[in-house]
This record gives sequence, structure tokens and C-alpha cells, in this order.
Amino acid sequence: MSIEIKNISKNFGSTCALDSVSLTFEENKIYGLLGRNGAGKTTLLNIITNRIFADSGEVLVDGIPSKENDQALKKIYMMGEKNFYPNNMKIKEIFRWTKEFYPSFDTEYANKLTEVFELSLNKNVKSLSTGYNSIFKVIIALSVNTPYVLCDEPVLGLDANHRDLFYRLLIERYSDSPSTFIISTHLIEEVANVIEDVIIIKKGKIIKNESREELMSIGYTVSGMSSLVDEFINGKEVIGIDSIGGLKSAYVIGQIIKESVPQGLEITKMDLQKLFIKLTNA
Amino acid sequence: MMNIKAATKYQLNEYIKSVRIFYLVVILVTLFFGGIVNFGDSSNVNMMGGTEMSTAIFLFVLGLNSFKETFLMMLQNSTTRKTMFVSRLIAVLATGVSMAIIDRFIISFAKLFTYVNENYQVSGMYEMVFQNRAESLHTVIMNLEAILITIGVYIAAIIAGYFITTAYYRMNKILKVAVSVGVPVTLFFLLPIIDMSVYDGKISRAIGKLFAFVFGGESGNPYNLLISCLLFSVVGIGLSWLLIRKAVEKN
Repeated sequence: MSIEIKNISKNFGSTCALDSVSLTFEENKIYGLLGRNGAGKTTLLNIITNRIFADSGEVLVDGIPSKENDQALKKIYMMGEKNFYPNNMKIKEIFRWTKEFYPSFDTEYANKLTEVFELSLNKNVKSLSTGYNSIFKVIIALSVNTPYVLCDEPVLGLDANHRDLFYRLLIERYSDSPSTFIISTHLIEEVANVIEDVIIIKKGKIIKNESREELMSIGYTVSGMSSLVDEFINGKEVIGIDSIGGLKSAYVIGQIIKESVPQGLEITKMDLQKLFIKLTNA
Repeated sequence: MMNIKAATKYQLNEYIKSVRIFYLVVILVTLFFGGIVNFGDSSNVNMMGGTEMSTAIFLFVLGLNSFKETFLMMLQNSTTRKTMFVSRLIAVLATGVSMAIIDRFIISFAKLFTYVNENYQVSGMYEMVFQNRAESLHTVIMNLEAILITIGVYIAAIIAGYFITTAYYRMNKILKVAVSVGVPVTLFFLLPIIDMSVYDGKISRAIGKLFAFVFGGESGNPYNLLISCLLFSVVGIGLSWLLIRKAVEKN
């Protein structure tokens, strides 16, 4: 049970959006699909869901080619950054139609979430702010109960409280009834604690596809007094430094034996965002 | 085609909302003018005969407005283009048949006013175009035949609108402008000039003959119109499918 992407390529005119991308999204995992603007994240998600077609390659959903195949596509729900719902449609009507197309959609749970997010069911799409436009789609994504849920920038326009609420609900939902969630986002720091596997896409190519733990184990963060940190990192591969007053945190690539660390310094996990910047900047 | 039921339901629902408003207006107009004729003291003859024509225009406009929003909604709900197209055809057929029957019912109902006031005359499109044939047939047969012919006209009207809107969706901006300007200029400006100056009016005579044939020719056979509409619809459906099968989101 998986979404298998085989040698997908896609060009828009002279721009190569995806270049022979191959990867597998396994069952019941939360993936972070990370990449800079224009890296090809949305293109990849759009191809998986048949919103656009690849120039070459194929996508298999549970072994079935997904191109123009209702049986395969029915297993996927995509919450896109753009709105595909009719502007004049009320939220309650959208829920009703989602239930028609996805019979496993949990209307009761969705209604409960509208209360939690303080979203009126009688509002129509065009009257919603950017944040609430994301919220109603997030609610559907959390209630749809399909094996694969794709979220493209799910927290776009959401305030800190709603973002926190979304991540908590996602974990809660995932624990209750696991599905595969693929979250494409720019807010790496926030999503870092939610995702299990990380896929980093750069200029249409997959440059990292591994578990978060594996990825973060390629380095560490060392924190302490500036002078001590400077002395410690001398000669090491440092990918970023944060300083506040006399304190400093340095993000270092490489392995370390904690016992060998001088007193006054603290070793913690690598910061995913710093690593992402390092990997995608070059 | 797992989503066919939901997709058909959605597209029918979309049509029903507009059709409901349309008929509300038609019924109000019929009652209003019927009332004026009945209770007014005018001795002028009042004629009501455009119901089917207005329905055909309405359906053409409905066809024009029934692609982009539905297409995106279907994509959002993981429906394949094949399913959305087949469900659209089911919705078109159901709407065409239902409206042909409803219109015939409205015409028959409006004809009741003619018994009250002779100055009020009601006629359907079928009776107007195929007058001799309509008079020669039994009322029931005539009404059934009128419904059949009207179904063909209505389906052709929706398909025409649907094809145009689908074609425009697939075109880029330059092509849209080229077609929007080029087609009317060619049809209403260049063609008449070329026809008169080069072909000595042969093109317009050929078009006239074609229309005469479509509308039954000398014998006034309504099935020419039905077959023409069906052929037009089949070509329109085929071309629309070619456009839809590769359509992608351009939101």
C-alpha cells in the first residue's frame, strides 16, 4: 500500500519543474515535502492527483496507475493552496458534496472542527479570509478519511493559535485513524515535530528522502557561551550560527561523542530548518 | 467510473438551480400576459410563441457557463475527466428531455387562455416552423413529435455552449482574442464580401439551402431538424471530449 512515483518529469515551456522524480510514499506515515519556492512541490502533488499531467513517468496508487483512474484517485484527497471549490458555495454545502464524493468523510467530526476553529457553516467561500480559506480545507483534509491526504501549504494565512491547533489535531487524527499525510510547507520549524519522513526537493530533483531522525543525525547543535562555542567549532563544518547576547548556538555537520564535549557547552539535535537552508542554498 | 453517481448528481443539481429560476420567470410572464389578455379590454391579437426559443437560448447560455467551475470542483474531488464528461452528458440529456416536456406542458397550459379569449394566440416553435404537418397530425402525436424535435434542439443548444466554453478554457490569451475577433469578422464581414465579389452569392445561396433542408425543406419534414441537431451534438460532444481529456487546472 503506497503511492509510487516512477520517473516523473514535467516541463513548463523551457522550465523543468520535475526531472525524473522517483519516490514512494508509504502507508500510514506523515511526510514533509520540503523545498524552496518553485522547487516543484505543488507540481508533484498536482501530478499525483491528476490535476495536471506529467510529460513522462507514472504514478501508482496501491499498485494501480492513477492517470485518469477513479479507483486510484478516490484514495487520495488533496488540500490545495488554490481554491477549487465554487466561490458561492457555503461551507455546509461543500461538506455535503464532499460526503457524496468521499463517502468516508466524517461530517460530524467536520462540524465539530468548525466549532473549534470558529468557522460558520453558513459562510460561502468567497467571504472567507485567507486564513479561513485554509481552515475549511484543513477541516475537510482532517475529516475525509482517505488513505492518502495531500496538504499543500495547509497553514497558509493561519495565525499562530490556529497553526498550533492544526498540528495538534493532525497528530490526534493520525493516532485515531492513521493515513498517509503529505505536508508540503515552508514553515519547516513548525512541522519538524510532526513529520516522520522528510523529502527535500530542489529544482525538480529529490535531494533527500529519509526519516527525520536519520536526516537530523547528520549533525548537531552546540550551545553555550560565545567564546566556548567559537573555540569548539573551530575547524568544523558549521552551517549556521544564532547569537543572543553572550550566548551562541552553532549548527554543525558531523558526529560527536557527547562525553568529549567541554563543560559549559550543550549538545542538542540538529535544527531541521538550518539543515534545509544549507541543503537547498547551494 | 466510481464517482459517476456523485458527479451526475452534482452537475444535475447545478442545472436545476438555474432551470428553476428560468421557469419561475417563464411561468410569471405567461400568467402575467395571460391575465392582461383576459382582463384587459384590448381588441388587439396577442401572440405567445417564443417559449422554446427562449429555452434554447437559455440552455445555450447554461452550456456556456458550465465548464470551469465544475471542472475544478470535480478535480478537487478526485474525479477523472472521463467520469466528469459522461456525467455531464447524462445531465445534458436529462435537462434537455425534462425541459422539452415542461415547455410542451407550459404551451398546452397557455393554450387554455385561448379558449377564454380569442385575441390570445399561443403556438409552440414546432407548430410555427412545421405548421402544415402540425395541423395534419392528431394533437397527441403532434405533441409527442414536438417534444422529440425540441429535445434535439435543446441538446444541441447546450452542447454548442459547452463546446465553446471548453474551447475557450483550453485556449491561451492570444488564441482567445484571435477567435473572438476572427470568427465574427470572417462570418459577418469577410465571408459576405468574398461571396458577393468572388462567388457571385453562391455561398449565401448554399447556406440558405442548407437551412431550408435543416428546417424540413419543401416537404416540411421535422426529422431533418432532429437529425441535424443530433449530428451537430455528436460532433460537438466529440470535439468537447478531445478538449477535455487533456484539460488541466488553470486556476
